[in-house]
Amino acid sequence: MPDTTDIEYISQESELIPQLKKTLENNGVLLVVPDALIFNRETAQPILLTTYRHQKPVFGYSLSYVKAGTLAAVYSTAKQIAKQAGELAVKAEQVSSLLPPPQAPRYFSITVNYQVARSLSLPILDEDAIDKKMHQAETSEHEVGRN
Amino acid sequence: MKNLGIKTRVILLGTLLALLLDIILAGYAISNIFKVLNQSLHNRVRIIRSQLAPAAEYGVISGKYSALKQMAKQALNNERKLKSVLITDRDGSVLAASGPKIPEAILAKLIDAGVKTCNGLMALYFPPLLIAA
Repeated sequence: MPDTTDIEYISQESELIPQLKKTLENNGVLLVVPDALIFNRETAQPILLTTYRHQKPVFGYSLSYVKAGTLAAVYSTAKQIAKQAGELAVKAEQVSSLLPPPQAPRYFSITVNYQVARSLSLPILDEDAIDKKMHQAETSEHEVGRN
Repeated sequence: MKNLGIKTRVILLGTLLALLLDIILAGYAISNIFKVLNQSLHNRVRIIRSQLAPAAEYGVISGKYSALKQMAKQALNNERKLKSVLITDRDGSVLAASGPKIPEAILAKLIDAGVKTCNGLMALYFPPLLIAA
């Protein structure tokens, strides 16, 4: 799988599928980003069908996307975001009155659509194992960052 | 036979030949009608399948079985003479089914043909298609 990311731009919805086909030819996976022009209720199904036909997996950013047919998604639930926000608020109260700058979610969940994995003939670990690996990678990244 | 006159013998022979020819022609016509009916049945199934297959593609790959079940049910409602609709994945496992339960004997035949079942649901279509009388 290539370690670079190709970003393609479109100006109108009609360009979406032709551009997507072109992009899928040179890329291993497709990442869904929160852009209503590209990913919306009308386009989700044609996009997913196009990626299935190219045998390329799609990663979403919410549980709904996994249910709709992406291979997997990493997302934070309201509860997880609230937990992090609460921790930050407590910390800010103890140390200083200023809140820290925006940061990436520390708590997140991963959900896999195993039917899609089977359809794409991709061997996938179970969700708990992936979750564990991701949290381990996160922890080691934080430690490297601190050092 | 020896007592029969030449005229009777000729008539008898002609009648027998006509009867034989009649049986042959009737047999041919009946088999031909069955062939045509069978062909039209296959064509009808092919059309139904070719309409259902692309529509089911998304549901099969994404695992949206509830949508597939709905589709199988609709197909059954739209085609009055269709007895049962089954949607399977490429391994033959049933993803959605509608219609009455298939008899055990037919199920055994289907399993012998290499079709898998899933959660007690019934297996794949094989020609001749089951059509309600």
